[in-house]
Amino acid sequence: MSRESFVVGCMRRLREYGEGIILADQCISSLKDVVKNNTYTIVGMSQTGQRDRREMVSVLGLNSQQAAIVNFLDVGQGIVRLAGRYPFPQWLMIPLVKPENISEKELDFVNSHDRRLLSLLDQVKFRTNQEEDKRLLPVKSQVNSGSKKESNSQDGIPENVIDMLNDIFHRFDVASTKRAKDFGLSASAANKIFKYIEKEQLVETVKLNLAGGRGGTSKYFVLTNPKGYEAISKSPTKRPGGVGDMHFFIQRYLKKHLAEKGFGELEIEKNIGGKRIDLFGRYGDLKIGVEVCVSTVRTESINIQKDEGKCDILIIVTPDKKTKIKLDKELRKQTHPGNNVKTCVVSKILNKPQEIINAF
Amino acid sequence: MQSPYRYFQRPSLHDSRNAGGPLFERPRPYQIKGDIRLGHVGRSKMVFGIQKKELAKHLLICGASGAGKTNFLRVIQIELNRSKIPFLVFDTAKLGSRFLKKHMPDLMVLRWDKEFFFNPLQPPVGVKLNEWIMVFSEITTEVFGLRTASKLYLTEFIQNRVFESDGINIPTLHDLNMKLSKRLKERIPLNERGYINGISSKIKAVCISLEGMIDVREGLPLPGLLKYPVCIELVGIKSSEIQYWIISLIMAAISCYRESRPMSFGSLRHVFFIDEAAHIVGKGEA
Repeated sequence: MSRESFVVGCMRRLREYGEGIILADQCISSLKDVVKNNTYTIVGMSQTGQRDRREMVSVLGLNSQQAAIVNFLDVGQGIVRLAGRYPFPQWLMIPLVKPENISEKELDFVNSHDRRLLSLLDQVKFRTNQEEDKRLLPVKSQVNSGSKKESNSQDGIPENVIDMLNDIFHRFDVASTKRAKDFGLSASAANKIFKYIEKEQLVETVKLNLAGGRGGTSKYFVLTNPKGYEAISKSPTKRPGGVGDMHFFIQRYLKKHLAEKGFGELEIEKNIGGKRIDLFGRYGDLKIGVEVCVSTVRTESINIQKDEGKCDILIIVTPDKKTKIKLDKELRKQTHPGNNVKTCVVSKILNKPQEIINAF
Repeated sequence: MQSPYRYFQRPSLHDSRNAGGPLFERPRPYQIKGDIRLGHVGRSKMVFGIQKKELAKHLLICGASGAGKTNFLRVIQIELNRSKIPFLVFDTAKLGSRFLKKHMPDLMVLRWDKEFFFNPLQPPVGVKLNEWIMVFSEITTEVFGLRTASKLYLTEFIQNRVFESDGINIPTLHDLNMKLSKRLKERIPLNERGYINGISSKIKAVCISLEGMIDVREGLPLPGLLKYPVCIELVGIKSSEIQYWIISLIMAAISCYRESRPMSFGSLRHVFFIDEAAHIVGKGEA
């Protein structure tokens, strides 16, 4: 069996499976007869070689008058012949498609945002993991190439990572899944970037359930490390001393989102009479103090005693139920908090703040 | 959206008396009605179209250099996209289809050195390994002009030495290249050395030329590619032999994949474009 017959065999069989083949060539005479005879639609365009002209006349079934014009056809003109439905040659005027240039950079950008392509690329299995990182990351990352980004990529941080860090800097309160969706990345492609920024310690990770439902925790990223800020050439956000990543994140998140729930004059670490409150705000006429308690349950009671008199209502916010139970136990053991103190999980104050305030 | 079509300024034949005259029979509209519009009949406003099932019986375009073949291929691609028929086109010498990206945002342009990954040793979904190895060997030996005996040797070598030793993982062409080089260093009969020398010289050239594109255990999934309008750019691969080896293998893979699925009985599912077809279905003189 020869090579041609294998491919021609493919052509014959593929018709049954709905695969159409469009062949194009300069010389009709160089193609195998079996191909020409088994093609339903044949379009002949200007031909100058004598052998090709003769071949075209015979394949298209042209009469002597028609044959005379074969080498005088203009650009974009052709003679078409169908094998069955209308088996007479016909002069065809083909419209011109104006090509629109697309540069390599534009194509890089388009491909790096094409979800179909990214999901196909996710199925590619490389010979080694190292190879995968090397090949896939640049494909997905060649987005905008500003001068700053270029200098960073020279330091070894891929550009898609820098884009992600910039996004984290500007939208710290977005969960990782939503962030991946906004970037048009598949879960595994986004995971690669997230793993990279965690591994390189460019960000800290905080896991919280802020929706309050049964969906489990979402992953949030906090830019804390100077290395992370350096990568995006930004100065670090002012951060109170002695607070952990989770504490810092909750403070900022509450400040941003409680404003939408009717709280006003929100301020982080407000100094009232020599005592700083994690978050201070007003709800109507009420002065509300919010203390964030992440793990220092035992020392929180001292905080409460100091804060109690400084605001009308004091809400102690914990990241999860477990910490809240611990805190409640500890508070009952050590102090007898007044009526204006209440503990709650962070999701509750975000979703039902009125319920908490009305309880006082 | 503005129509992507614009007409040439001189839509006349050399002899203006012949233009649209009795030289060609004037068809009735129903005779040339079709889903895929190819152009106008002469100077009239009558549109010449072909039906989808007719396109499944293939189409051939022939014309000298500069006659407008590439433009015609673009027209067909736009028409296919309009009819929601996915297609696969290869750009081998010049960048043709990527310029349609702005007319067809759906078009997926895959560059061989960036987004396109293909493992020639990976059998398509639903195809038996041995069957695919036979097809691979046949196409490789024929495109590269190797002897028939080399085909049998290559088939056996891949079956017994490449797949056996690699266990579960699908080997790559780089693995095959390494195994061939290793075998050459052993004490082997002279005729075997001859086969290996012939095969190895070609496989090594492919490995050097294509580098990362074939350095994958599993390439881009074929069923996924057959769902969208895709252009694979092979521009930059200096050897046309290697370019047509890739095209032949992909065509064979599609053929094998389709054959493992139910028939469509003539209704058009997908279209495959082959430019410079003489390299693949030529008489061998080109």
